[in-house]
Amino acid sequence: MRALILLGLVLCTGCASFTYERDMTFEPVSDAAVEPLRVGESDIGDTLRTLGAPLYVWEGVKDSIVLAYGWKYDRGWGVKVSRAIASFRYDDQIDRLEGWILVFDSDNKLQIVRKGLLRDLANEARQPPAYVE
Amino acid sequence: MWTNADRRRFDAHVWHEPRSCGTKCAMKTLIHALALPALLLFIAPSCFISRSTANEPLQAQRMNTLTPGTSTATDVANTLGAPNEVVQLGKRMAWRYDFTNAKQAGFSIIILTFVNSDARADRAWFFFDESSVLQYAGRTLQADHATYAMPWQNVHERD
Repeated sequence: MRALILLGLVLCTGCASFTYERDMTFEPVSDAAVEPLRVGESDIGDTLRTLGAPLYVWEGVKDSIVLAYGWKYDRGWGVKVSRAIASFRYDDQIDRLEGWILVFDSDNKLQIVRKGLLRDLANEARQPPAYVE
Repeated sequence: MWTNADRRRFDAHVWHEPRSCGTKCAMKTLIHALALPALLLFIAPSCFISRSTANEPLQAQRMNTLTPGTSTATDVANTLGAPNEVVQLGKRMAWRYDFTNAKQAGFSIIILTFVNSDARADRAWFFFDESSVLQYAGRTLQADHATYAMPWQNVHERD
């Protein structure tokens, strides 16, 4: 009985609720938008003109440069417990974003184009951080 | 002196039924009294909207004054201020400026909540060569596209 009362209190005070949520973060980059870019021909300038500003830029392996475009579109039911509203940090986003990774060599020519979860793609493409002595 | 006859008269006046039914009747009366407010609570939904932003909106006119091949990192800093992020790319570097606009809308019915979150951003990246001369610049201005909507409303192309 006490457990039931406690559950009732938690639910009624808004600490927990059944939620249907749609979450849209940034605008998606379509396959058609990426199609004009040619591996070995297009450079960073062409990419910026075609796709706009990337979400992230990283240093890749062997002096390469990695541009990442990402977005998120989720919808569905869930249970929320004490949700925090209006907090947004760029660095927190990468785990949940899908998108494109474009890798450019040291001459700024496009070498690799991949689509998928940014978190996974980033692990492949990014240069591991150097030790600071 | 409070006699039994007085008590019976009092009970008959105050209670709808003889007091002999005791706590059970009191509870029944209480439930009747609370039924309407409880029903109102259950059917009254609460709506909410919220907006959050990060950094200052980017100004296209200012960015237009910066020219790849001639403008330097100092020119960019003087025109746009300090970047939100600096990325070292070997001997080169890239600067990011961004403004994020996030809008939430929804409503709750007691423990059932419907929420729509829409976050859009203005972003600009400036790439500099080894001499800190601007090599490439790219921008995306979409922060204005964020909208308040219910989760089932079609507000963007993808819906």
